[in-house]
Amino acid sequence: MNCEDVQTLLPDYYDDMLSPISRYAVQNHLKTCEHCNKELHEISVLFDSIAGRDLEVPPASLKENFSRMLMGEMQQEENKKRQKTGTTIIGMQSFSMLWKIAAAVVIFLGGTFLGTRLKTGSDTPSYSQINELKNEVKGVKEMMMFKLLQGESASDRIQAVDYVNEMPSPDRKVIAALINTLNHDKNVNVRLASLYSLAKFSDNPMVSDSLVSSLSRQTEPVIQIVLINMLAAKKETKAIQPIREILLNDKTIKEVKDIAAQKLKTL
Amino acid sequence: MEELTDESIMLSVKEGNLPSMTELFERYHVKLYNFFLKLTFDRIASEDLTQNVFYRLIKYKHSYDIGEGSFKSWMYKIARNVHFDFCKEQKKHAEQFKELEEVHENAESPEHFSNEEDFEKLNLALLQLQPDQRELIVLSRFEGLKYGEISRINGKSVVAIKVQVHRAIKQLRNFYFNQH
Repeated sequence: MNCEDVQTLLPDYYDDMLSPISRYAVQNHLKTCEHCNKELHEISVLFDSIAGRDLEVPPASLKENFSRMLMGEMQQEENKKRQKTGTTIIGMQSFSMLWKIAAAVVIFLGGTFLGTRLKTGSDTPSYSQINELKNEVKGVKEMMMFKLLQGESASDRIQAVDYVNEMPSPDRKVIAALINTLNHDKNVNVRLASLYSLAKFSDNPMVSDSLVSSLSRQTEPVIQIVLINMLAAKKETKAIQPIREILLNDKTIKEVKDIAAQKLKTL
Repeated sequence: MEELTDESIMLSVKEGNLPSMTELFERYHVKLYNFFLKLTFDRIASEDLTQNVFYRLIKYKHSYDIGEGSFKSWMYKIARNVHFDFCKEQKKHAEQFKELEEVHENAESPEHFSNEEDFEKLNLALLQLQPDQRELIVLSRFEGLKYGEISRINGKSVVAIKVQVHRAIKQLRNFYFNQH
């Protein structure tokens, strides 16, 4: 091996990445060649200088911007999913069994409605009839919600949670189902959707209490952050203790701790 | 708690679990920031570029293919594209290296990076390299990537990369040891 051959191998020799044969050849050459020894020395100085450098710590704004970007992306993803569910329903492309049942019920109710209208012979249906129909439709929505919530598909469950937004005054049963979803659903997007739906009823003491107790259950940073922000905005003093616990918990990530500390001051 | 691999976390992101990206951010944002810092010598740009990499990781999550090598090489491939777009946009590319003296004055002065003379020397030597050589040095020496990984990043053969890395090291050595 001549000097030129050896010199191309020297970096890998220094890194100990050569095959035993090449390694042996380089070692042999180094025993006698001063020039190549000098080269090896330079390489070692250079590489040590690179290896010894300190990594510069980026400014905190990098993390903040990342968290904000991530939140935005999650929101968008969720919207996309909802839209997708929406178009499938309109396009009637994939009719699930549930939708068929729902359609049948609606058609049946419509028929009953038409029937009663014909029977009374009046052109304008009475208020009680309209209310009755409205109640039945509400019942269908609730039924759909409970059915969809038990489904395997996360986007179905998000759709279910979304139904609550169409209900003017959801009853205890519906609220309880949402809280259960917030605490137990396996998909973080579904949990987040139910949290946003619940937020509209946070004046209801049952809701605000369960949001407070949910604080100590949640481990997902995004949910923790949204919950803390929500309760802090509501000036919910009952949340102080659980937020403190989040702050003290070793498993809490730094971003959440920062927000927890910041919001605690406002409470 | 057992450590999840980068690949399994990225797969979970691909399946729609976006919050997992936070873990990958924790693992790599300092490295990426320093990667860009070595290429641009510009802190503000490096912060933007790092953020941009994570944005693209999420946007292109569906194109992540576990069969195409490590997460790291995929990430650096994206980082490289981000840097390339940045250079194109800035139109700095050509001018930046023609007038080295000027750049060096405008760039954050090396003592900001480290007080030690040695680091100043190293930074100065890096600045004198051609952009593509500097990239190879940063990937192989600073980020510690193997030839095979770099080959996946820039699409050249392993043999070609070996030769180019060696050439770049030689060049860097010259600049490093022959400073006035």
